[in-house]
Amino acid sequence: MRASDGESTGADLGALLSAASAGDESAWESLVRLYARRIFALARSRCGSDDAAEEITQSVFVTVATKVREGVYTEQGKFEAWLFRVAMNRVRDAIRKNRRRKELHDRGAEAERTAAPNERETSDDLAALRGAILRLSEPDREIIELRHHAGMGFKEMAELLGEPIGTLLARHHRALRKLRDLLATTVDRDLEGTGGR
Amino acid sequence: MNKNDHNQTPEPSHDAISAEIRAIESGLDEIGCALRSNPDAGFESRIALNALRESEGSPSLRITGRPDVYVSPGRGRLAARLAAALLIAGAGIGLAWTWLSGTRPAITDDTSGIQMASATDAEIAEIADAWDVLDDSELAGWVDDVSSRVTMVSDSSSGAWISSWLDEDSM
Repeated sequence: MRASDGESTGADLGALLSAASAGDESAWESLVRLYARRIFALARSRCGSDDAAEEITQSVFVTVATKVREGVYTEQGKFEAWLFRVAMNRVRDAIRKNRRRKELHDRGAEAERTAAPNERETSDDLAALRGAILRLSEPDREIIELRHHAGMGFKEMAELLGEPIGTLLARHHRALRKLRDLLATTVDRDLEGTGGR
Repeated sequence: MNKNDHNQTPEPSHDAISAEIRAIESGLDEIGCALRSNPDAGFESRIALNALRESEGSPSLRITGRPDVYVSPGRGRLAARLAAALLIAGAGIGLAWTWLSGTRPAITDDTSGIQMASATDAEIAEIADAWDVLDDSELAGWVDDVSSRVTMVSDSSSGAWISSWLDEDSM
């Protein structure tokens, strides 16, 4: 089940946005509750640090709060795509800044390995999968993370990236096959390492 | 057995590939679920409050509000000792400067200046030993993290966040 499944319908979301823009704090909190963890997951997955992910999540909601209150954003059934567009921009800004200091990509990878406690409890298979994601190309990784970590549907991803759904489905499938190949390579290398041919 | 057999990995069937890909999808969903459950229970309230405050121009509470950002007692003590050592060293240099500039102060008639210098050397050596034990990469990471956060806060307040890779006003 996708994280986006079972969320507010368009009408509910529209009502929440109107209430939030009118200063209703509980509506604002509901809005944050609906999306904050998904944005955090996307940012955490890309930046590898809880702190950076929380900073990014917060800055996304600062933008949302500002634009919704100022009436810059008008809901036309594409709120999720817009929200994740803002999130993607923040993530890219953060990655760009991190790259300027050169070592942060490695830190991201390191943070992936030394993840939070509930992540450390995952099996070896998941650890291998996590390692394989880091070896994907940027576009492949992006689509995997939007779909599985941010929990986006293909329709919203199509709106966000401005690509037809069919193209995204094909890109997603290709990325999955690359992951499969990367995992197979890892298993082969492990077998060679232990002499178990 | 054909001599080439061991060099060729048999092609998996279409069904086997589909099953593997489904397993990968399920693993990815599991990782996503773990990532989404990472933040603590107060995460949403913190984000909601801070985002509202910041959008209204009030200072954000995000750095002090996060429970895992703190200076460990060991590091705190080390910093305090380093500050003390620098203070003592500064006093020593001041004394030496006064001596060299020809206005010899009265206190140099006794040995307190020498004792102070010795104590400073010992203190610095002790701190240098402790400093060597520190994990450089961790410290560098910490410094980097702080500077990154300062940059983000500064960029946020100056409006640079709005510099976009994708147009944020188009939806």
